[in-house]
Amino acid sequence: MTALIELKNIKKVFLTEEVETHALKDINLTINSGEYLAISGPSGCGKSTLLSILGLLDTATQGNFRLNTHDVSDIDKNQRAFIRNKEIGFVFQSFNLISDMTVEENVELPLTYRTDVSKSQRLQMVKDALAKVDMAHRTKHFPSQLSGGQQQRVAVARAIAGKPSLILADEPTGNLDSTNADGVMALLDTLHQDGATICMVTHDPRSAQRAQRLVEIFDGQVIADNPVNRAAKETATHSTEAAA
Amino acid sequence: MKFWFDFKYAMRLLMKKPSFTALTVGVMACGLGLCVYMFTFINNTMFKPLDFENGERMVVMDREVNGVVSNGGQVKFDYYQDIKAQSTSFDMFGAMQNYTMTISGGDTAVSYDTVAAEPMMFDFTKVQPLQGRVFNETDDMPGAAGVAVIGYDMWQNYFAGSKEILGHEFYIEGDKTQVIGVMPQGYLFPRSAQLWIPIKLEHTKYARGGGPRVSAYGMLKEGVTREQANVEMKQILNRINTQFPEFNTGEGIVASTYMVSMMGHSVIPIMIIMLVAVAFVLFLACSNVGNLLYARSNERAKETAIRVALGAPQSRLVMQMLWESLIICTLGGVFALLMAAYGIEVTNKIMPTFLSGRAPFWWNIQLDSSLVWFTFGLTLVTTLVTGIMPARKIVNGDFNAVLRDGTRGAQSRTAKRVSQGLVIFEVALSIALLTAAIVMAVAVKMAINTDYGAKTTNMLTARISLPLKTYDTDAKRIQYFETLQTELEQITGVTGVAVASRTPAQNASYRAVLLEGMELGKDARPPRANTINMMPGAFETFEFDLIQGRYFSAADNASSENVIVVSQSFVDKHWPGDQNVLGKRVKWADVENGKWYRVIGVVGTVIHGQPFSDFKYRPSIYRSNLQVGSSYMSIAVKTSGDANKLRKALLKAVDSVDGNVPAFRVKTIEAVVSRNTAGIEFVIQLFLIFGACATILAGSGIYALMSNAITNRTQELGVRRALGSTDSQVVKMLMKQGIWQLGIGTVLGLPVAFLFGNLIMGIIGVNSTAIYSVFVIIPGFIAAVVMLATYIPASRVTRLEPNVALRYE
Repeated sequence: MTALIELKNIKKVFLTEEVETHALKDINLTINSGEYLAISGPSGCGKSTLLSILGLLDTATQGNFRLNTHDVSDIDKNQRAFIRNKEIGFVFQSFNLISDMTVEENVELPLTYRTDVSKSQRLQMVKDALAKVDMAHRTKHFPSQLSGGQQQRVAVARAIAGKPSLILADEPTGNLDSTNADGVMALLDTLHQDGATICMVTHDPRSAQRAQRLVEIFDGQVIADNPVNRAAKETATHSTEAAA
Repeated sequence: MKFWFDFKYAMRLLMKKPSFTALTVGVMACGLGLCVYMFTFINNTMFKPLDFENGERMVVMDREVNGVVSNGGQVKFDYYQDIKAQSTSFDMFGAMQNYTMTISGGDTAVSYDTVAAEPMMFDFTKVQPLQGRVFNETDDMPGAAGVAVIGYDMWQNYFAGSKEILGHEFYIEGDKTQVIGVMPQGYLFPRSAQLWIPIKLEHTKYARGGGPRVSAYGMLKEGVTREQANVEMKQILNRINTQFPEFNTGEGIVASTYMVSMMGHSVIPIMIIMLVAVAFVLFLACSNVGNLLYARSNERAKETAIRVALGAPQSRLVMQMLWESLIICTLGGVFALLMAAYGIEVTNKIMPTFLSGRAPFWWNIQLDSSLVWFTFGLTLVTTLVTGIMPARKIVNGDFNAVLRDGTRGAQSRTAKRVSQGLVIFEVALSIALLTAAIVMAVAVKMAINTDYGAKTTNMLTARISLPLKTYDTDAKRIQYFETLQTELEQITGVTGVAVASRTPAQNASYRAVLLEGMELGKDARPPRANTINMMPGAFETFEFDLIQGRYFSAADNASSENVIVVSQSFVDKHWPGDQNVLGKRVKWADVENGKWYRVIGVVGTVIHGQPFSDFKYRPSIYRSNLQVGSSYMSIAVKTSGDANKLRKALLKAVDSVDGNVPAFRVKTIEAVVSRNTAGIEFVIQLFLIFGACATILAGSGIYALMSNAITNRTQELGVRRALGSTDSQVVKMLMKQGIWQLGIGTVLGLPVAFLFGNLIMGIIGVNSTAIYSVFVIIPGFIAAVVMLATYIPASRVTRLEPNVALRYE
């Protein structure tokens, strides 16, 4: 396995007028291609900040970040946008679909930011992504016409449409009931089985157990980084199937 | 195609909120429409070249005296010859004289605007006649047979479109003249002429200081600017004046465009003020729409954050915001063009009423391709201006925080400052613009309602121009007007008749005078005064106030001592504090070896011309026409009822005295007065429209800004209330902040308002303390708007339960 992401001594400090908040302290983390990683920890421990840095939505105050062997710690806003668009797919807790765009347009949106994809290629990619999440029949619907689970599936389709190297999921089941949550988790499992690299932030232990590896953060530091117990993982998967 | 994706989305958003779209498009249409209209109006009336080949190089010479340029003023013959001979700035330099001449030989005698010109004039305009030929050097020789080129309208109207017009003979001021050519329809050069005759200038006949005054015109050489030509002419005249100091009357020559010369150089500042005013209105519109779009970008912060997360490049994000601005401004631009077109149509109908004679041929404002380009350019500029704030937010926004927190969060300090700054800016702009607009309206209204100092109601006036061929002596001319006066007095219903070179409200000849005993400094110029010739009885009919001495009588004739009556403004200016000015003597400085005229009376100051600035305070001298024998006079008949009913009888009476002498420009004195102010009243109406638009835009803009600012603070206000602040404390705090913004805006806006207001009052010549109340009323009105704009949203926010306010997004 090759290292897709390498974080070395990552620090993030938020400066306000009088207070310095150390959100991340010396984070060292490597994520390999094809890996399924869960990051968990209590509220305010820094997991969302870490995900923002991984997703190039924010920059570290200090440290080195390599993505696909390229150093991305010190690149400008536009380069970050370019890499984000090509290499990273996001799945958010609150779906974050654009309400005034149809399902098809929402999935197409990140592809329109690319210069190397033609209109016909774009439409094919949208079609494939929606088929993969089983939403091909709702292309002309608006998000408000879909259930929470369906919206998150569309969000997943949007994340995978551009065939990114990494899928970042921030509490992907946080806004869903258990049935829909398990459906989305099953979808992530399938994507992983198909070769996707997934990094998921969650504080739901059941979801965390479905990953291969669990990184625990506390007070801005990695306090544990272990493979997920195979038996626990199977239990988590079975309980999902039973619920389904 | 990606543009199409973004465009489609922007359209969808705008269609989803039709009221927002209609409001913003309406606001932009208002701002752009006024700007486009004003630009077209000013460009067409002031700056557009005449519609001739090389029209941009055509200039007319205005006379300048002591730095004051009098538009359309004729220049000294010497100067014309000197410049023609020595200037290198012009390809052509010609002279002409403008008259109103009486034509006879057809069915009736009619007066036409006539130009006596050199043959070169037709080369100047490069327009070929429709029929026949234009005159040549032979026709222009002194003593040559009378020939004339006539205009299309004259051919159609006076000669009924006769097919045998060429060679047709008729009389101009009693001189037999042959038609040699007909100019095409619409050819009215230099302004509204219908008849062109050779000027027959005898260049060598006149010694320096002699010769008639002429209207000079020229074609600038390619690459030579008016400024360069003016510098050169000044140098030439300086040389001449040094060489012949005895003929130096302090006059200069300024090359102007035909349009500026006709409108007057003093109109330029008014036009600039109007342009600045509409620019302010447009700016107000842009800031309002920009602010609405900014508020919308706040609402769409999450959507933008999603786009950022999906890897949207900044240029696309900015473009996405600009699409909305572009669509709004483009639609606004289209409506603006329609509005401007309608305004222009109305203006074209109104404009000719500003003048006593026929309007100049270039007064036909049109929407042309340059205007469409101007609108297009303005639309792009407004798109950028309105889109800049939302775009700035996109470039500098912390969208990661939006994604992370899932809400728009509390209003940032920068956003708060921007919002406060905008309110201050709108307050300042509104105070400056509205105050200037209202000051202008009030000042002009005051000027219009000025007492002219004489009767300006229930009178019918007309002009009479005696042909000098028939009426070749003073005695004949005096006899004619005495007979006419008697005839007019016989008309039933007429209670008084006046014959004068100018009636009140009509522009008078403004001539240099010398006062007996007055010492003129070395380089001092003689003072000037309106010069008006009056037949006995005119003062009484016009109801002038007699302050000292007496009016003219029949005894003040050619065989008696030369006498004058002066206005009180003349006395105040030249003999201030002197209680007895009767017997003092005055003579005209522009007449060589002129006679002295003794003052026999003082009358109240009467305005001859517009009731504005310079005209209003001009001193006047009245001469007895029995001692002058003027050929060009105004007649006025007074009645107790509708003066218009006397029209037929007046024309009949004039005809009965001499069938070859027509009365023309027959109109009531009220019409004379209203024509004096029609132009400025039109300007006022425009200003009031600007003011009304500015009021609506400012009011709604301030309300939207305040309301948006307060709504964005809903969470913060919820916290304050949760912590124990009462509703009234919250409202009081917001009101205090509103007053603070109002105060700064007023401090910034009021000096600008003063500056514009005083400039306007100076131009119009009104300086009433009452007008200063505007400087209190308008800020008061804006204060009320700000207070309401604060109070209404503040009370709406306090109506929310604190727990709802805390969760407010």
